[in-house]
Amino acid sequence: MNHATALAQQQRDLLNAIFTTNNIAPQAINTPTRVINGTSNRGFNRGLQTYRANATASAQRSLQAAYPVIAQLIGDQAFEHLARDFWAQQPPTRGDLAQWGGALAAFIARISALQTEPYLSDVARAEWALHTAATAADQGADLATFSLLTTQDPAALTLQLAPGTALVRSQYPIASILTAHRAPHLDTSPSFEEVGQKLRQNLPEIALVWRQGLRPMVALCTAAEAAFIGQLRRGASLLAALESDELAATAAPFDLQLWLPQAVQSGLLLGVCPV
Amino acid sequence: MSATSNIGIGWRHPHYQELLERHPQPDFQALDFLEVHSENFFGAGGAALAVLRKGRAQYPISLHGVGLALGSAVGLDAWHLDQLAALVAHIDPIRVSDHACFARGSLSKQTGNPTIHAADLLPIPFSREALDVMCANVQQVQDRLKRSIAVENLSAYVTCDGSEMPETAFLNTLAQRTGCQLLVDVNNIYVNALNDQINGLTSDPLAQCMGWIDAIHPAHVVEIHLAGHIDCGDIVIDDHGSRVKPPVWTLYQHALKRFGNTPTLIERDTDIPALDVLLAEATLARSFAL
Repeated sequence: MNHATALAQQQRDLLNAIFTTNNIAPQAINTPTRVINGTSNRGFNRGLQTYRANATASAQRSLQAAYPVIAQLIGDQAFEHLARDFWAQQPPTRGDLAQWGGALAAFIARISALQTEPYLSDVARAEWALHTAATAADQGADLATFSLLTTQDPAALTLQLAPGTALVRSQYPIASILTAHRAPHLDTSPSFEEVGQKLRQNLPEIALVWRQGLRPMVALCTAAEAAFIGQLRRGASLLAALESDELAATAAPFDLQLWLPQAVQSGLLLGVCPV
Repeated sequence: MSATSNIGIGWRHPHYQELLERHPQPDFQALDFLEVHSENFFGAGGAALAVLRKGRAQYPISLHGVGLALGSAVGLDAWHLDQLAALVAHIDPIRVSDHACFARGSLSKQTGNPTIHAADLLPIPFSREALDVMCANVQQVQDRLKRSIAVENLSAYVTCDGSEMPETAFLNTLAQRTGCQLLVDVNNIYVNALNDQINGLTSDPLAQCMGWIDAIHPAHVVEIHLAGHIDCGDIVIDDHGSRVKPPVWTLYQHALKRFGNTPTLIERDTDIPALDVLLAEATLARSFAL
């Protein structure tokens, strides 16, 4: 349904007035949107100001939920500006604000003031993968299916990965940045000093994102592991993933016998199924 | 409406775990239902949906939406409706509701310009054209969900010109034409009246609100919302960030006399206090039952 009518025009005008940052006189709006008291520019602008303040708060709240590490890295004031600019330039298109923000990584990459921290865009990509993983369809582990590995042809089997599994490759140590900020209390997380050192050394990293039960996780992933997981995500059989050119090209060892129990324990691997 | 009181609270993230844990305890004053914002549970899976399933096992759930944008002239978002339909099928709520507002539209008349969503409850004029749009959109939702929904009155900070009838006539007619129900937010009525007072349109906000309530047909009303607001001096804002104000309690009692005992929700969405504060307000609401 599309009512190309006075109502549609009036709604377009009000949206423009709210998404316009400068105060606007009611007379400047073509259709008869008016103030509560009918005459006062002040009252009209106060109403718009309320809607704009709501929008700013919604933008910050939504992006903060999806990008807590970006918020920590750039600080409250810069994050507030980022949220406001992103809202104005790429407004939401869905009524569920959790869907808004997927384009933030590309938006950050274009902001000249943030070019001194070139890893931010990749951190944002990984955070969006975590945000997406949080609401991916549930799937439980089926440990009994691992017996198939001893009885079936690996060319006819594949491995079932956790909901939300994703790989984010970067020229920067993004997995270390994320784990240091998300879980600084864990012994397994690198210290901020160690992360700083990796940044100075320009160490590239691959971040592996998955969901452990209901909890989104991120960890540093080796090139070989990433090649293997990447093959599985594209639907390859276990045999094809192990013998892939991609895995061979990493020239790094990948020991399936060693990887399997770790992957099961971390919740990354849920079971085995036919291709 | 009902012979007994029926009181719920908005179940928000800070109280997810506590409410689940306290529910079975013998000294806990049980609630009659919980309300959640539908959009917070649109994901296919994950922690939020898991906690809602646990809540559903203990309480009836009222799904209250803030994003359908039922008054949008560009129509509904099919994706949004799909998500809501899936959630309704999954949770089997006692009520499904949203607002008499718009939020969707494009910023330009040019073809191909994307439709944006303002993520707010923006006002509509009470015109015949807006009523037609609302009726068509509400009907589309009801057809999809195969059940009636409840539509809530707004607090508005600008007024759209072009109204041809009172808000109450607009809502009554909407209910008559579509078979939808009405959710009366008493705080919203009062906030609008206070803003009318600031702008010199009324000298007696309470009387204006009672007149509003009296003009709503009781048969349509299935839920009442109570919340706090903030008076900024030059405008009053429905921020759901404080306790229900005394005049709103007065109006609530008037509403109960008009509508009969009606399922009532204590809403708190900002500056969320300890659970006991909300439970105390729920108990107070219960004390007004007829």
